[in-house]
Amino acid sequence: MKRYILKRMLLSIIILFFVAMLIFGIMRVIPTSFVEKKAMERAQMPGSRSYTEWIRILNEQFGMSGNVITGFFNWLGKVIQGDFGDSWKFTIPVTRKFAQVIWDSFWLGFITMILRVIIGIPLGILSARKQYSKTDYAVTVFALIGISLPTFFFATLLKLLFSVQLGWLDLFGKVGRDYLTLGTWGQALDVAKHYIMPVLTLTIVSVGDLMRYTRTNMLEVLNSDFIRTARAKGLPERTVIYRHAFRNTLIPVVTLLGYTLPSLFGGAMITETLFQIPGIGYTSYQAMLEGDIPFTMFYLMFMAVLTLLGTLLADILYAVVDPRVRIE
Amino acid sequence: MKRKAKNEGYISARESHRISRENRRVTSAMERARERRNVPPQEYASQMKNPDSIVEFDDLHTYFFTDIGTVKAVDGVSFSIPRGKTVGVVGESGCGKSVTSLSLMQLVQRPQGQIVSGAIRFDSEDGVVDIAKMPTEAMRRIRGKQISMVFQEPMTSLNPVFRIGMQVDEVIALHNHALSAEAVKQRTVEMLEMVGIANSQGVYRMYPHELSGGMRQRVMIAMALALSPRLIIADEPTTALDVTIQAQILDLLRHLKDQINSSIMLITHDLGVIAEMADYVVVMYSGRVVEKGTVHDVFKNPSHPYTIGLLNSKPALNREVSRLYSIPGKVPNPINMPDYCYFRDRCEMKTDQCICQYPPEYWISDTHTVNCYRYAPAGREDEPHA
Repeated sequence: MKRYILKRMLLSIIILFFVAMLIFGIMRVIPTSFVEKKAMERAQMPGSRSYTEWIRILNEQFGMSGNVITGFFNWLGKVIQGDFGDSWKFTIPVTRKFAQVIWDSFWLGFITMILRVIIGIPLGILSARKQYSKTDYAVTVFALIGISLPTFFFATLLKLLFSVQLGWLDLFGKVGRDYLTLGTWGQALDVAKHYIMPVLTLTIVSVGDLMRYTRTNMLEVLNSDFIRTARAKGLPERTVIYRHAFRNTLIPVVTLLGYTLPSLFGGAMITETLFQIPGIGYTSYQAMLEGDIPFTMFYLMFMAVLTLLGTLLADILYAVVDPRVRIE
Repeated sequence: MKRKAKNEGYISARESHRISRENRRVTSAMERARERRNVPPQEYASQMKNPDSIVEFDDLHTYFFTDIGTVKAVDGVSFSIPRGKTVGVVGESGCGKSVTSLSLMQLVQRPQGQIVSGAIRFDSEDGVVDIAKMPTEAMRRIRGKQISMVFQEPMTSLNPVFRIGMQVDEVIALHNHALSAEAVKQRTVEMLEMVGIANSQGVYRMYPHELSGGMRQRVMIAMALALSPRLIIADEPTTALDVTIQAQILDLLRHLKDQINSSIMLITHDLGVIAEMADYVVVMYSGRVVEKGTVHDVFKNPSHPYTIGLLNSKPALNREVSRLYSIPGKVPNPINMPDYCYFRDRCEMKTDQCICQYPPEYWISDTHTVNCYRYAPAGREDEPHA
């Protein structure tokens, strides 16, 4: 087990190296260039140097003078020493900007995931147990609506209902206008209140796939021979479903959950933008638009690390829930 | 006309929709009745016709309500299983033998599969009950404890995520609340030894995937016999196993049956197994019993043309044939059964009488009956034996 994890880690480093190279290459060749934009701005100032001169100076300043390969290895050399550089757009160290914005996204993602699990899995089981019944159809329609309609649609509906019609919640923002006058407890409550609509939006759009996935797997398990054996033993239906069937349904579901690890930190760009929550999704989107290479590199590398960890976690969990799988 | 022929066997979407709505109406009413709680036992109490029987199937009908029509998987089956005897049920795939046994356990795939009418009288520990009328809640107490089942597929019949020990413990503990965990485990290990598993302590802690098919079937048998049930249903227990293991498993079943003095309902399509194991034979075809009698009756004097065909299609060592006999034709479509003898279109011995309705049961001897007009007593053809 230890050896396996170590091996996977080493493999991950190689994968990360190539991922980094690829992303860096793409970032350098996309038409959005931070340097060009800056040079254009500076050149337009009265009495300024020419555009080409500014390009040369700025390229020097931002370490873009060499070609892509040397640029990449320069970046890599610093990263290995733990230095991700300063964000060009935000003009503070990348890691500091990241630390400022990640937690909002994390809490949004984390609460959403918990809700997703506690709503999606039981509904999936219910719908499988009562296949083709009214309950099943209702749950399926609900899930499909969630899967197919876009985030902004639900966000707008929720805003219309809770902010405009009922006036219970603020339209957007992370804190209310009297945030600073509140005590610690009050501040936490205020933030929580502002989280309600984004979390609801994210849950509605993501609960459907887990529910459908659980339903499909549960149906398959319920039709298997060992469930018939369990019933033939005289076990109550509750035990048959929640002990014998559920443990088997868990196998694919746990893997799916392992893969969602990156999405916990990945942020939700559209939702964060709609509710103006300064999370990582929103921030990284801005950074990418401006061609902020250090920040984008850091963010995408972070996602790559999480994806690799997520797959490793899924594989380990797979072995935990399924005794037939042995990790060697 | 040509088009119609092409579309035979297909139904329109509207028709299918109508059928499935109708089905849902019928099955949900049955499901509700089945799921009732606290049903007074008098409601499903019954009386045995023959006190020597452990189980009596009486005109059992089990139907599957599918979207393309109602499949009469079991259509009027009557036979009984005497106490302490082995009854073999034979017939080709899809003839309803498994569904008959699943009806007895109330394990027919619900909600599509339902016992529609008829009775299954079972002499339980608390008096005679009619399983066809029993709610699931009450049935649960019979399953595993008084009637247990060994399934056809040992490879998939054990839950892959639980240890063998836990799975056997479970059934023992379930029906013996008073037993301590230690005693349950001891009983499990004892059972594993009884079915001939040498390393019983080791196997106790293993997962099903660590065992071979034969070993798994032994575990299934250990599980089925753990509570000394009155009846063991063995649904093709050896079909998935190779021949040497088959013999061992059958020997095992026979010995254990004598030890705990229970009856066996043995379902198989292997006539050799029947000849070796069974005291009585029931031959089924298309959801009906066509012939029944003692092993001696059926093997020495096969009377229904289907049984004769079945025995002829068995390979024999001392006979030299260039091609193994097979019954011509195919099984009729289970959705639209004809109302004459189901075997008529394949029968090589059909007579003029065969154009009329399904033949009644005729007695050939005291123990041997057959549903075929060839045995109709001369002069009173349409009068079935009471």
